[in-house]
Amino acid sequence: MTLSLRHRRPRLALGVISATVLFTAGCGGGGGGGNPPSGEGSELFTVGLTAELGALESLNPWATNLVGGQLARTMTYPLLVQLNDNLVEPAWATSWEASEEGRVYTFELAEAEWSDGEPMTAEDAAWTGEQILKYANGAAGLVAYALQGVESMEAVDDTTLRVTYTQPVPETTLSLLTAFNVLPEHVYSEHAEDGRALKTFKPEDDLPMVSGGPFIATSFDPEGTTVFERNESWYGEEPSVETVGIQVFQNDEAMAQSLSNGDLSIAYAAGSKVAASVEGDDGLEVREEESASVDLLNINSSGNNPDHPELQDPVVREALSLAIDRDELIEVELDGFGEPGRSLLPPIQNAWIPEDLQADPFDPDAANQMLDDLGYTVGADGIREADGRRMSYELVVWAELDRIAQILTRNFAEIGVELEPVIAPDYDAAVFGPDGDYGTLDMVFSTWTVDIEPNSILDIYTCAAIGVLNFAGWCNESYDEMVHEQQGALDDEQRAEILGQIQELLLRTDRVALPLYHAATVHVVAEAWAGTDTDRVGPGFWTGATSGG
Amino acid sequence: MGRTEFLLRRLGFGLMTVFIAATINFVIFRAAPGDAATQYQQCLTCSPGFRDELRAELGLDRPLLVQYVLYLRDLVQLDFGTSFQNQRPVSSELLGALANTLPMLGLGLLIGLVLGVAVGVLSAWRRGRATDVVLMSVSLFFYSLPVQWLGLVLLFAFSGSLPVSGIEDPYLRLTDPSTMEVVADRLRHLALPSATIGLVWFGSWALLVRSSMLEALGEDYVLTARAKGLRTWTIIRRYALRNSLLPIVTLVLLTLGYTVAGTLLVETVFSYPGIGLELYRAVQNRDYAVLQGGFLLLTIAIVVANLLADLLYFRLDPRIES
Amino acid sequence: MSLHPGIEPSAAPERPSRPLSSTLRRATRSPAGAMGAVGLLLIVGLAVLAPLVAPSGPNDKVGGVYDPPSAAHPLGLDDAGIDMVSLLLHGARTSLLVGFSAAVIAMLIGGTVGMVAGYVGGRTDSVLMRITDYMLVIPDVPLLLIAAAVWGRSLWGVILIIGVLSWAASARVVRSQTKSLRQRGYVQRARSTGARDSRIILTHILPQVSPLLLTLAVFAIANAILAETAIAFLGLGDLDSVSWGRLIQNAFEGQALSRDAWWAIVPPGLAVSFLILSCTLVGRALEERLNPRLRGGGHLSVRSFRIRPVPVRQARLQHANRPDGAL
Repeated sequence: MTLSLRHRRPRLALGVISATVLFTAGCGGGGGGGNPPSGEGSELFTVGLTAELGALESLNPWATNLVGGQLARTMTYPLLVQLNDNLVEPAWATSWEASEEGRVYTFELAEAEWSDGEPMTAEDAAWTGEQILKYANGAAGLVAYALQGVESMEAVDDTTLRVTYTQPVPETTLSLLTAFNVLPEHVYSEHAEDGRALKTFKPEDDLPMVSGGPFIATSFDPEGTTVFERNESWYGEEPSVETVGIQVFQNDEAMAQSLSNGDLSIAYAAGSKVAASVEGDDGLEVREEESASVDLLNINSSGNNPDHPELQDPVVREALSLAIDRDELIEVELDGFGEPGRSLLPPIQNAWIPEDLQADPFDPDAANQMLDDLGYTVGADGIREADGRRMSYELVVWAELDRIAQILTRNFAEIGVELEPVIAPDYDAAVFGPDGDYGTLDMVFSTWTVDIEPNSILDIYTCAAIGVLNFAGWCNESYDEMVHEQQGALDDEQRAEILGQIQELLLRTDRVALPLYHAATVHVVAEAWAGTDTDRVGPGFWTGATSGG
Repeated sequence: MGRTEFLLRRLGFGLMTVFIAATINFVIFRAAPGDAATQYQQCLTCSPGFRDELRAELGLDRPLLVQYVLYLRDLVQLDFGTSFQNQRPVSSELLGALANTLPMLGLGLLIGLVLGVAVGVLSAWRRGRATDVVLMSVSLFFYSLPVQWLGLVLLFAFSGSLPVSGIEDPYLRLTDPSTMEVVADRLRHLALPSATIGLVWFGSWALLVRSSMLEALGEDYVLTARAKGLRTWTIIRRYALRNSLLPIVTLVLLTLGYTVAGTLLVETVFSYPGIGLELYRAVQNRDYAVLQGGFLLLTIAIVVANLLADLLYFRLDPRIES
Repeated sequence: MSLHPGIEPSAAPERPSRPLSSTLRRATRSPAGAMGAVGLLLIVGLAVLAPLVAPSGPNDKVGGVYDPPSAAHPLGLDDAGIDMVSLLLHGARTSLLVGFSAAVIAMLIGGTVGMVAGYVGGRTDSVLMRITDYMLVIPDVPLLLIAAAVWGRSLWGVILIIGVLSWAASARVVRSQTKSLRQRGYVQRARSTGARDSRIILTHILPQVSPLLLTLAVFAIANAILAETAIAFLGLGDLDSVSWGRLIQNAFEGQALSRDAWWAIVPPGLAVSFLILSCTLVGRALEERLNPRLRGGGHLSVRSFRIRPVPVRQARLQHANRPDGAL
């Protein structure tokens, strides 16, 4: 499930994707010490999130795509399926069948009702799906990806839902449905005169809201603490935790303090800084999960920047890559919680990365040699000249990356290349340039967090994404063809081979982007809740939690 | 010029200021790079049309002049627009935040005032002696501290014993607390931010009170009082302090404009959800709607405070007349 | 002989000679002032010598993240493994650069506005003072935030913003002094000889106003440095250069607190306060030594700071200094 962040901030853990807080039974006393409000800490599960990642802007899925909102919604709005360690499992749908070679999926749903007593049927799901498809390119733009490739959704009867795709898809595509929250038609249809009305409707203004999940939101504070209480009319197994609190912290320091004081059961996707500061504290466990993200240095491959033709040369790009001290980046920026950038695909998609594609080593000597061999001599100021042009490049970044920019500047200086970080509040304008043709771009930093399916990240470098997300400005027909081909590949081996070729083209032949590092997803869990299964996404998470001895 | 005319002039000045601030607001933010849709620029899972939809929803696709007129019209109706971040009305966000800031600021100013007056009076009383020197040095020292740094130091020192973020314990209400418990909880959360503000401010007030006292102590009526044999402390209490009180209060009102910076910094350090933190977050998120509204709100507050100060000046100094 | 501050002096026939140096001379007799001056010189000296004296550069990683103090690095390392002592020394340069430059800008604008308004009088005076009043009322820090957020972060941007937002306080004071100077005999004589106004301002008014300007400048420097720490703390300062304000911000962002890295937090703050304290002491000494006739009234120190509580004027002197009813 791609819980994508709209922000350009790095480290927006998508740990959520492959993780999700799971309350599971743990032994140990109390809810982590500190101030459990009720007598037994086992009744309250407190989740901490940082504001940039987790501000609960609204409980309406159309309004926000931050992790906090998504977490909250797995508690209140039913999902057809859920994830357990990247495997798709039943949630509201007790089973499903594929027909027409995977073009149609028929889901059998459990009998259920909403918290206000109204029956929860396939009709709600079909209605929700229809609305999303109708406004997919507008008001429903934040949730439409869950139904990517879906042609229609219809309710065969109260407990049977038929989902038809435009072409056959493998079962793993169903993992996208973990972002498809079924909305109560009887509540939302009043605001369905157009997509905008649906998007701007705020269910949290009328608490307690109508819920179809294990919990109901009883108080709402987008930048503070939102409290959820057990939903007695939920169809599934009753959670042993009575109350859940999602607390949003304005900065890492406040969250770290809260953790140290024992006030949190889990700091979800806390990040490396928080983890590093509480490492070694009693009663806290730092959990590092395989990275679902990649941070890249994109090099302008549009050919439209007349100033630096030497940057188009893959040899120059390789030299630049060899000059980067990835270990230092990981140490300073990630406090060690990460690995060197190996491919466009992050480690959770390891299965699709060829064995022989490894991260470039740190070898400034070799880099210097390569540039020397090209005849780019070092000038008096320490900067090389390539055919009379100073090798001085601008790197578009955003403000929080200044440490990374510093390290890269230093690294490149060692091989006679000058790097000037440029902070761009409006990224698109800086990257695409005034004429929209990448005419002023040298290099640009980007970060992506994804789920287990490679398609979304591969799409970034297609021609269709030029002027949208394709920050390198690279348009290559054979790349596009291969991406399309692997989408339809039904045989894993065949698909792996095509993917290998794709990565070879992107990262070795043309070197469009230089992978820097993969930031691990880091959670901090209180020892009492150590049984938390952070690999789950969906209601199964919340229902398993207990604490106490 | 008569009193009424003067006040009307001041009122007019205030309104002009607000209008100018509103226009500066509008111009700055329209000239700014990026807008509400900028935050979705690197969204991997967003539909391409979503950003246009968002702009249309917020009325950002209309011609500038139209936007300006609508903006002014909304302002007159006290509608400050909608936040880019969470699409809630800016006015309710800001007012809610302001309601959080006022107790903290009030307590902080009170602490600063009490400390400042105490130190200033004591210093003046013991002028030239060791007490005076020590107190003045301490005042000067605290006066020179960057407020955010003092906040960090206090946070460091008290992180185990006092709450270091937020306005209340978020889970307290689940235990059905008594009013006393709620108040106590709030006070505990107010303690550090208010203390920071108070400590940083008392220094300058102490200096002011001290010199004000010294001047007052040099007045004729004080010499007379001394000649009559009254003790210094009685003199201070009966004459100097009473005469200085109104100017001090007036000073507080005038300095409210300068408290904004300190409040912002303190709320950032202590994650205290007041108007300072609201503005800080808005800056980080490029939420221009909230920044506009906040800027305007603060300007209005300062204008009002200045007007109040002018009213007090009249009571204070009967010599003010044309 | 000190006249009551409320009365405008008018008939002094001769202009005092060498006002600037006499003020300085008197100021140095104050022990507090001397201490402040020494402190200031010390910091300036260290800043100037920083590249020679600092153990390493401001970007050189010499160890691990937040390494504690050791013999090699008496103040430990910061969150990027850079030596704190070097950071403090290099940071002094940036902080002082910002302080001095912003103060110069503020004094240039404020001084010019004040002198012109006070000398020319009439409509020009009204207009200029109205502008000054607006500048005084508009909340500066939000404007600062907005400007930095909108136009990006750069060192000279920060300096400019601080300078532009702090000239108003000094303009008023300079104006009152100019007004009183204008009445002096030698000024009247110069005017009657038909000399150009700008020349008169430069040769007759400016030298007399310079002690005041100097005093205001010292306070402006302190104010600018505090403003810079505030801007840096809110994440809007220049990214390429290290300043003390930035060090405090780095400590906060890098969670020095929860990592118990007190060496990353305490020294920068103390350095800033030391500098501010020195400026304040020097400024107060200068202020006390200003020829009482020429004083603008009230306390300049508390007046000039914008990030400190600033009583604009003491009520007692209100009447004398309030021109045509405007605040």
